[in-house]
Amino acid sequence: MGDEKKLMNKKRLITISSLIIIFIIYSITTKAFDKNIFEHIGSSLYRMLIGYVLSVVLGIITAIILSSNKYIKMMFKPLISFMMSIPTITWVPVLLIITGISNTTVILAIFLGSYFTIIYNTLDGLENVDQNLIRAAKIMGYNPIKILTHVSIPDSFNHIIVGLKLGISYSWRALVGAEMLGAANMGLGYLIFTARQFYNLNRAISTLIIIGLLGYLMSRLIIIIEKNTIDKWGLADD
Amino acid sequence: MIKIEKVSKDFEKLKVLDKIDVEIKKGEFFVILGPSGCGKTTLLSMIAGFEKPTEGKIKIRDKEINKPGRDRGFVFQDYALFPWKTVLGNVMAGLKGNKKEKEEKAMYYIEKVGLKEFANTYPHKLSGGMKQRVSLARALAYEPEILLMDEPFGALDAQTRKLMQQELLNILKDFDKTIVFVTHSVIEAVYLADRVIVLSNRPSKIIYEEEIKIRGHRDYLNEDFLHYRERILHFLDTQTGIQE
Repeated sequence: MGDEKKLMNKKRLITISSLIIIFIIYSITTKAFDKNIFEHIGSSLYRMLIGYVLSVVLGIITAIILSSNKYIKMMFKPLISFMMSIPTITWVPVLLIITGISNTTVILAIFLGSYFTIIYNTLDGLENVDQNLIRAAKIMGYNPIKILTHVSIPDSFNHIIVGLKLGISYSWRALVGAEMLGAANMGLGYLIFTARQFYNLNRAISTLIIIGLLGYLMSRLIIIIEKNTIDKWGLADD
Repeated sequence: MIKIEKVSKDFEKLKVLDKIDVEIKKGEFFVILGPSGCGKTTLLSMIAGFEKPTEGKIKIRDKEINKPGRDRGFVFQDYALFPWKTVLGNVMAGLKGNKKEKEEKAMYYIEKVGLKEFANTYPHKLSGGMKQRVSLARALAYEPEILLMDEPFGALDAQTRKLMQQELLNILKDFDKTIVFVTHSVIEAVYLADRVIVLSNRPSKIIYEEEIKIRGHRDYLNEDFLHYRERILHFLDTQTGIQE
């Protein structure tokens, strides 16, 4: 089992690193980018970091608040499902009217991309906390806040992880979409969009590959968190 | 020590417990025996403070119980261990003080239940019997006066179950605890108990009470043991006849 996993990791590493090498050779030989490429990557990653972290923190907090009261939860759950069924990209025109061409618009799009998914999944987890764990905590004298932080949240982690995983890929899509729709004049989405205007096929393809690679690495990041939490605790199958 | 005064419990319109009235003495190993689906776990949950009686009162040292508290420890049938904590972490979960004190104390109880080598293991890697040992260590570690055990060995295979019963008595020998133990196994009840009550089917009443006095070594073939076992089994036979 362990050996098989190691072999899989090795193969994955070979695939990814050969893809990267081929890509680098390709983009250098075709002179796909100028020096600005790193600024474009940087500004996209910067927005992603702020927007996603914000949505994780606020999403989990919102879910905790909603789960604290049965009636509040019943009222808001359909609203969250409704918000989840709006494709994030459709927010961009709305945001452009409100916040204009700015970092804020892109960050808000990233935020909206994952916020509701994270709320939804965290709520799911909080609803399914093992009641005997809560009882065990109560008899040991835990107060409600300690029960929340030391029992309910860790026991919801398998659901929270699902939200984080879906959220990060939704947010990444939202980022590229927002940048393409003209919410910024920097970033990978902007880059690929202008490549089209200049009929620069090499640049368009290269940018596309960068977007794919970065998205892939981000989801690996969540998988690393998953391995060090729910896999280690044996919660993954629930 | 624990006074159960005319306690009844209804779930919606279903009457589960009907005027249970009994006193559990300090230091006693008190076993509640009853068929599946009778209110024995409900009764234990009320002593724990997880649920409230519909009628009547439960008092510990003459103080009415209204919520769970650290004067009681609870061992669950499904162990209820925190999966994200190691064995050591689970046993430390109920302790107070600085980290070093907590660790030392937790290790003392982990050694008591014979899991020293597994202190840094996560619960999902342990067998059922081992998990229940951790659960016991966790409940003992913060030194409650009363230990409530809800069919703790119900999910274990026959051999492990017998072993755990022996070990439980062995471990408890060193501590002065009042124990309330719920089971549906007559053998287990007679083997462990100082006193047994038998509950009827719903709505449950106490239909039998017996002090178990076993002379000599407690084992399944002891003469006194067999005597009590026969008596209770015989009584249950007549009861089911009436009930059905």
